[in-house]
Amino acid sequence: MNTLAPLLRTLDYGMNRLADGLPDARRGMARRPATDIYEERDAFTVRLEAPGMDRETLKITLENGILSVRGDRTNNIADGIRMHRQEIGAGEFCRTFKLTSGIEKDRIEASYKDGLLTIRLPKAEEARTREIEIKF
Amino acid sequence: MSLVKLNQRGDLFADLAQMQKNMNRMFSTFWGEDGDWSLSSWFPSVDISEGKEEFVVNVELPGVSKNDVKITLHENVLTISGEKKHESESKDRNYHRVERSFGSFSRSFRMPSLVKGDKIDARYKDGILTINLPKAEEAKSKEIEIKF
Repeated sequence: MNTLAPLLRTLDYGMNRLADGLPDARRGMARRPATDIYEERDAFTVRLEAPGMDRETLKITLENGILSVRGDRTNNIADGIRMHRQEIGAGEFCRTFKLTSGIEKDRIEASYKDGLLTIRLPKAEEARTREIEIKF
Repeated sequence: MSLVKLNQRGDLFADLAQMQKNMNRMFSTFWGEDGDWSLSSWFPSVDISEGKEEFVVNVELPGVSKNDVKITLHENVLTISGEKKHESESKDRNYHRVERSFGSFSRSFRMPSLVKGDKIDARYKDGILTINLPKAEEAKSKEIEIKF
């Protein structure tokens, strides 16, 4: 039985910005990384598809209940290279998600593997699902 | 006067499927792509660049296992196909947001000029598959010296 209202409501500003300045012709638009969010008994997991990111630009912050994920990827096309097809955008992305309270902030973990950015947010003790024993 | 049965579901759907196929073919031909899009549930993004010596094809495949990708070259048409599988599914998971696509994919591209089929190299890093296809000798651009 799932009587709990979703603990995590996501508010996605879906910001999809280019790096500063005007887009130049060789720099496509970075798209909004597709994201799955699921809840298990003791944690939430946020997983973003962010292939080919410049690792040092990946940044995750949690402030006032808003989880922000940022990253950037460059696409340096050398002189003399001719593009026949360009679907993979370059540039900065930023996605934000509103979290409920009840996250153990000090135990949040993040990893980046095979282009997937995975953020695990453990629930605080009081936010975990508990089965209530009925007394007869 | 002849009666035409309008309610032959099978035929109607077969016709629609054929029509879709034809449309796909039309668009694929237009875009220089040979893949049959109707068979795939999602399409990885692709960059194709050309240098002096080789073509480089980049394919976005986040979370796809290396063993689930197949690359073939047939009559100078490069095909990248495979499957993006769900990570281990736990039944205690309650999804709040589902944007990622899973399942099989296939994309094909006619290379702009002849490539050396036996010298193709592919690597997978951070969710990007990079395929290097060296140009065949006869396809390399040559500067022609002008004699005076």
